[in-house]
Amino acid sequence: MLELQGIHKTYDNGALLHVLKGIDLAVEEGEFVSIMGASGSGKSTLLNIIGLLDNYDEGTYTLDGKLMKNLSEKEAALMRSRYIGFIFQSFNLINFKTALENVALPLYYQGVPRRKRNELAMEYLDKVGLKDWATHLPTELSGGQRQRVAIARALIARPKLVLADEPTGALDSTTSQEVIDLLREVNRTEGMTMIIVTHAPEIARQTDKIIHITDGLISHVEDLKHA
Amino acid sequence: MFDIDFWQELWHTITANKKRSVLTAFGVTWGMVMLIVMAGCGFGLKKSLNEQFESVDANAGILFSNFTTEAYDGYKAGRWWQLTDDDLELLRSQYPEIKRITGEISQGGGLGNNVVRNGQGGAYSLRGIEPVFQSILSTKMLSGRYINNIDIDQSRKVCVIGRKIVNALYMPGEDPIGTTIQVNGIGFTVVGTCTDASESVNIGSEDDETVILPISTMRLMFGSNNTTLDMIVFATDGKAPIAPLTERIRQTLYSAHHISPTDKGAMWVMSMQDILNKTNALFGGLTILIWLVGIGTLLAGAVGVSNIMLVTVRERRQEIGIRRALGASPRVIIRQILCESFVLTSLAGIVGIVLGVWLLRLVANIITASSDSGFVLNPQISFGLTMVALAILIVLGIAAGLLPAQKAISVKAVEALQEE
Ligand SMILES: Nc1ncnc2c1ncn2[C@@H]1O[C@H](COP(=O)(O)OP(=O)(O)O)[C@@H](O)[C@H]1O
Ligand SMILES: [Mg+2]
Repeated sequence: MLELQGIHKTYDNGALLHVLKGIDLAVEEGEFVSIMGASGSGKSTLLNIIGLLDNYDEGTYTLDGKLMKNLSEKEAALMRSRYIGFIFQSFNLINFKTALENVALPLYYQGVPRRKRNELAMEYLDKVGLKDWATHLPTELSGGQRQRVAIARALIARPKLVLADEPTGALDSTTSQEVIDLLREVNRTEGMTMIIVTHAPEIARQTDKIIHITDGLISHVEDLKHA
Repeated sequence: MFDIDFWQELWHTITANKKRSVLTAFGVTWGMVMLIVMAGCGFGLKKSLNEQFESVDANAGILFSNFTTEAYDGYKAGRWWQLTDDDLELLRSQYPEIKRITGEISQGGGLGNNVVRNGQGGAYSLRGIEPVFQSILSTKMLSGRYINNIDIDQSRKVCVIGRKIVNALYMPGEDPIGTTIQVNGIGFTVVGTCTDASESVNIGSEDDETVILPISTMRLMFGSNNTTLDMIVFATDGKAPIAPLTERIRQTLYSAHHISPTDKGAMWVMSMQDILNKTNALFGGLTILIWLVGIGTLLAGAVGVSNIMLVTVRERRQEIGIRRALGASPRVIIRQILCESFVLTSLAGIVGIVLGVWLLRLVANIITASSDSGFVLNPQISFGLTMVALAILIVLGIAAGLLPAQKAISVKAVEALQEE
């Protein structure tokens, strides 16, 4: 599905900050992978590079067999729109749009007609158990509900790859488990590749593979599936 | 992608953020209202003036005497001299290009209540004239008739009174024609009422506040058979240029009255053409001013839109980041913001037009109601001009959206998303 080789990333905010120092990583189609590591170790940076939200300085990144290098903003937007769904720690829903409209938004940017869009959005809201909340604004929803709306939004365009940056970081443990169950189920039934960044070992343990990042490098990989 | 969906998404973004949208639109609406009201008043004023100028004979001229300023022919400087009937005859016989000429005597209204009716009275100017006077300076009759030749021949005690005198001495609806008023203690029959033909171009006293008498009667009233005149008015055939003609007239009268040919101050002579030219120049300046201020207001409105858009784009960084993460390309984002700007400025502009036109009506009504003169400032604005202003505003509005739109995509999606 995707392969990274020797990825380096340096931020330049006055002082140079070498965040990723040569990441080699391959993720197979349909895999459910977690990334763990100390705060500031470069997990989000790595995920953003994989999600084409950020670019890298050195190395090669191939997604679905295509080399992702020096993409223009337009090309990146097109790839994101076709391949990738995002789930964020802070949900990142648009506050003035209802749950349904938020879920439907990725399809709008793919040019899907409104009726089809809303039908599908309702279907996905149903999948995450929020059909009755379709017309509510994000501010009227609980944290867990908001994250489920965000998950529905990430899934609606049927991306091959779902990236989740600490999706349970703002949720209590019960709600966290519900969210992970949901992601796991989608991974199983739809075969979507998933990469989630998490701090919680009990969550990471439920994935196929744990990638440990220390100081900008992959220190070791735990393969739970074949263990 | 400019389909219904696009506009629905746009409209949703605008209406879901009412405060933000109203704030953005306000500057534009304000600019439009200002422009419409100002341009409307300016053009109304100009139109009214033009209408008034049409009633003034540009070929008319007036002249009156003044103290001499140079010693000449044995006379000292500072001598007072007066125009007489002989001067009238002299000009009439020597200048075939003068078609009509007449003299006038007048008395100012500063000496207590010289005009009285039923105990009601006021201080008004008196003006003794011949009938031809009306055709040269275009006094406008409201009712009855003007002074005629029989009045002059028989020195009748008749008069024509101005509109304001009617208002002061008569009840509303009362007909002054045929009534008697006391002028300097002598009874005169009112035969007509009049008003100024032009509010802005006046010679001597205003017709509105003047009692017009036959010149012969007025001379008798002051108890003398003298032939002096206070002013001579004339009208040319319009073929000869008026400036050299007035200079020749000056020299003719100077030599008759022993005044130095180089004495500029001893006589006032002015043509209507001069007055019209000066007034036109004044209002040309006014028009330029209106446009300057109008364009300034529009620019200020556009800068305001740009500023508020910048602020809102900063507020919307996260939203824009989300949209980009969900697959919106920079072009789509720019187009969205420009179109938002376009829709907002257009709507705000139209609201501004409606408000402006309404306000203009209101101003017109207030002016008409409070103005007791015949002068109606008729504020109005043409449809074409309104559309031009709207077009300018929309172009400015879109231009104003450009900078914020650029700013919106200059931030990387990932950075926008990280901000909380
Ligand atoms: N846009 C940025 N500009 C500069 N430094 C950044 C930026 N994003 C992250 N960093 C820095 O890079 C390091 C790694 O950040 P991040 O990948 O977010 O870590 P993690 O998600 O593992 O906590 C941190 O020290 C962070 O401050
Ligand atoms: Mg992070």
